[in-house]
Amino acid sequence: MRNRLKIVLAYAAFAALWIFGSDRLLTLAVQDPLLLGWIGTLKGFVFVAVTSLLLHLLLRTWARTEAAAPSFPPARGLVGMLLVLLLIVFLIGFSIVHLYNLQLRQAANAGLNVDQIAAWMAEWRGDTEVRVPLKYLVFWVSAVAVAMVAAVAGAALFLGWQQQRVHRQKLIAQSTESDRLLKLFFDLPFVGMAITSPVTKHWLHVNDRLCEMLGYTREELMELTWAELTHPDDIAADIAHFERALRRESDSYQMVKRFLRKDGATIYATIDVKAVRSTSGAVELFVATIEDISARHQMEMMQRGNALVLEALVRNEPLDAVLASLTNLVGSVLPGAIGSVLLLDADGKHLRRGAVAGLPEFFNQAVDGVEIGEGVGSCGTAAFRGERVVVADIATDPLWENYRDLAAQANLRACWSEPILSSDSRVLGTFAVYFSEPRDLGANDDKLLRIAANLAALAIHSKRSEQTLRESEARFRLLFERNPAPMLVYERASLKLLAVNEAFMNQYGYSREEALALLLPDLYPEPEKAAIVALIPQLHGHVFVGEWHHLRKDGTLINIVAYSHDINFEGRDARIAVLHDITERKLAEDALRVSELRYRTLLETAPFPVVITRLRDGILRYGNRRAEAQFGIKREQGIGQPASDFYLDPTERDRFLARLLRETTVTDEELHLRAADGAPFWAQLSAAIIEFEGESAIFSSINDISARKQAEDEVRQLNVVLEQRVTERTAQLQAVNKELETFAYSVSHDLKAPLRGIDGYSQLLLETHAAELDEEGRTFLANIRHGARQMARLIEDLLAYSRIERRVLQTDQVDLPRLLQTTIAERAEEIAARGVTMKVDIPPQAVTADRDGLAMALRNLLDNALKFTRDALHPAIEIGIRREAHSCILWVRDNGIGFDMKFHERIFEIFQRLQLVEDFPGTGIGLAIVRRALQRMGGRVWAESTPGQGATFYLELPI
Amino acid sequence: MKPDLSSQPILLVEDNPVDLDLTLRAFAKRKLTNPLHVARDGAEALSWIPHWESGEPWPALILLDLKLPKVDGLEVLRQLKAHPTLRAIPVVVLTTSSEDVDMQKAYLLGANSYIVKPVDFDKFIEVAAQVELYWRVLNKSFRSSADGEKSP
Repeated sequence: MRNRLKIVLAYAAFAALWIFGSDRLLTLAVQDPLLLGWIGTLKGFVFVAVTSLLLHLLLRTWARTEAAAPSFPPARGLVGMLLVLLLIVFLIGFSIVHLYNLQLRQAANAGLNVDQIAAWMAEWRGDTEVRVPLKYLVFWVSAVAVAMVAAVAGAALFLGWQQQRVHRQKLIAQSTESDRLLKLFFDLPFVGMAITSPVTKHWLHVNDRLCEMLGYTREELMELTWAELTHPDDIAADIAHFERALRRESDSYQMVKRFLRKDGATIYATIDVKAVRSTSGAVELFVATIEDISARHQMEMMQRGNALVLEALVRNEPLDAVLASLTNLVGSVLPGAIGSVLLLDADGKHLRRGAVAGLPEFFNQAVDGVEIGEGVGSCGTAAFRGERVVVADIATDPLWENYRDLAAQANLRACWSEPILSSDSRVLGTFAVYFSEPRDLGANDDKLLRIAANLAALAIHSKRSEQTLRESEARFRLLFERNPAPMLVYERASLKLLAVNEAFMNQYGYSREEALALLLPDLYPEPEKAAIVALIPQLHGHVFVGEWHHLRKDGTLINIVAYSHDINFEGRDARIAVLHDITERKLAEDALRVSELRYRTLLETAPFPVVITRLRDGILRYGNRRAEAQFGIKREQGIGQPASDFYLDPTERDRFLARLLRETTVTDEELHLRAADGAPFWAQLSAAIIEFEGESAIFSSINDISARKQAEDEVRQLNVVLEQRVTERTAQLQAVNKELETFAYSVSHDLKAPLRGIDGYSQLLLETHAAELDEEGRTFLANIRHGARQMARLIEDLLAYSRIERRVLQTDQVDLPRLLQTTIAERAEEIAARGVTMKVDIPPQAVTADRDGLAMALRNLLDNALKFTRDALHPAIEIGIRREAHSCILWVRDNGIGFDMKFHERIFEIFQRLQLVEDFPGTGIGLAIVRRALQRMGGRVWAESTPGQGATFYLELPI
Repeated sequence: MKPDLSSQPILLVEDNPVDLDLTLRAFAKRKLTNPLHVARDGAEALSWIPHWESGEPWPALILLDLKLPKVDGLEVLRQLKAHPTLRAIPVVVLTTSSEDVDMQKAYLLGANSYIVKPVDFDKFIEVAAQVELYWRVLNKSFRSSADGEKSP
């Protein structure tokens, strides 16, 4: 619209300028009005012709534009138009000149200002000489015409260009609009879109929704191929579709596949992929629409899980199994999640493990039994508050303050806990979801948690009510089965017995099978049958008590009282009856008098004193003949007296009575009583509370234990004396031991000192007076020195022997292999020097022994073995152990000279030697030390040997 | 202040004349030239303390028998080791006794070493060598630490 207005205005301006300009020029050049008129008319024609042409062109252009053809009149049209214009101008000019030639003079006369024209031309050319002025006129007219044509053409071109620009803008506007729409569509917030390259498989364009769905930024996503983001299990299917599209077998495909999010989670999505092909048919791009259906999928899975859990409930699986299937379900629905169920204790304060299989055992143990409260992790708090607690990051949340280390150890970073509520909003437990990464509640998780908790509530509730039912059933059954009174259940309509209890079977003599084959009236004797049958239909609900006669299986008649009540038994309308046998009672009533008589006789003739005291006031009511003798009082005087008079200490009776009331019977209580004359005696009292003369009384039987007490006292006295003696003896022994110790100390110190003198001066004599001594003298001195050293050795060994006696035993767990190693190491030099083969094979073994004593024994055994293998060709010592039930046997075997077994006992005695001291030097104390040491620590030593075949020494040590 | 090693005296506390003689001979064999002071019982050994306190040169080493008349060796050791300054003198307990109890007590009281006198004279000389070596080493460290205390 605006364009048209512009064109009209431009046209008007141009026309006005043209008319005015051309007229002005003509008036300057033409003086003759007639000619001027002619020229003006001609000019008008030309103008009309040109503008008509222009109009035609414009109209055509518009018509084309309207027809939506975007192209503008081709250039050749313009050129043609220009040529036509030029022809027209040329014809006009030619005709003017021609006209002018014919009528030049006439024209000059007619008033054309020739001179003026000639002068202008001359001036314009810089040439004063005017030769052919008419030509210039033609030139002028032509120039005007060309200018005009050029102007018109320019205007037309301008208009055309203008038109084209407008059109292009329109087109651009149109395409921008569609682009914008496309972009809008692409960026739709609810569906993921992507353009991928078939060559690189990279994303070329992705929208925000897709980025959000996959958890990557746009830049990150551009670096990845879709295959990398596809769940490994779905890649094959996706690639198959993709290849099919590339092979032109399809243009699009849809599938449900899983993507892997940046955070490792899996999402379910439907993808709709369209191939965009180039003209050649090759796929240029793939445009994919991706819709996240995780939530839908989760819900579906949850529904399926729901069904599974319910099925498990119906199948009557144990609660643990049902809850475990629930936690598993959540684990599969929420990838990376670990489900857990904790149950609230009956006390409503402590959490117990429900289904916690996915969590580490130490974590579960720590959580089991924890008291709920604010700040007790997610679950403790959730159970306490009765509302959901979402902890997105355990490491920072104050609720986990006290459990942070535990959670870190279990690699848990997030925990959402939903309380499991019963229908009346009591907390039954918590359903929790754990993650190993910090994680906040997502949009769908809310529903998921609620569903899971509801399912758990359902499971727990149904299991608990089932249990309650079972328990009450069991209780009822127990009450029925074990009831001491005979019980039966019969069906009202058929009068069949439906159940009987043990007491019934015992009482009536029927087996259960027999009883269940009976009808109720069968239990009644003939005269009462009709009455009971008539009565039953009238019994309704209430407890009915009736006294009847019943027949036992053997035909005997018993008196019973029956209590009965309506009951629904296994879906049948029945009555339950408790039957009390009152036959005995009736008989008992008769028998009572007889029995009392018998019982009095029994008491009278009892071989021990019996008294009966009224409980109420402690007055003696009865004493038998033995009691008369014991208390030294006639019955006539004794009865009516308070029992406390016969106690040495009346408060003792109060204590006795209190105990009796507490325990109802007391046996063999030892009490200090006294006879009527005050003589005390020890009594052993057994008592019970009985009925006597119509009220509660204490029945006591008395046993005089004074003699025994005296004997006991004597024994005690004796013990005291004995103990004293033992103490004295111990003190004496300690003194002796002390003396012995001092003695040993002196021996070690003083006995050795002179020896040092003997040896020292012998040596000095040998050194300083060697020249004055002959060979014999030197031998004497050597012998003296040898004797002194032998003496010193003897003293050392004796001291060692006595030290074993004197040592305070320190029994301990001793590591046998290590002790042996130490002992062998002490003798390593000698072993190496002598070339003794040691074979020691001791597995780890601890024994209970006195470490130093055992070390001494081992040392002596080893020395013994080393000594007696001296002459062996290949000396060898073998040490080993053998485990027995309660001991360990260590043996030391050598291949030395051995000994005759008849000397077995002697070798362990002190100073006993089997060899000459010249042959095997020694003191004869070593093995005695071994035996002493072993005896002291509760062990044993013995030996086995054959002369010339070596010897084996055994040590038995307690473990 | 400290004279050179060989001129420092050694105090030998020994009651047994034979042992005393043998010890002296053993030292002579080792060519020890230090002056030897001898105390024949515990009381005499203790009577040295006031002398040392009044500036007489301390012994480089005290060889102490345990079984002594009047005051026994352990008591002498106790008093020496309880003394604020004299406790620095090294004390080697040299005794015939090989009883563990004595050894434990001596070490608990702060004896620097414990040597059992052997019967064998040859070994006795070895012990003398041991003693000599021991006190040389000990004195060296003792002297250097004493010097260190003196020079600021």
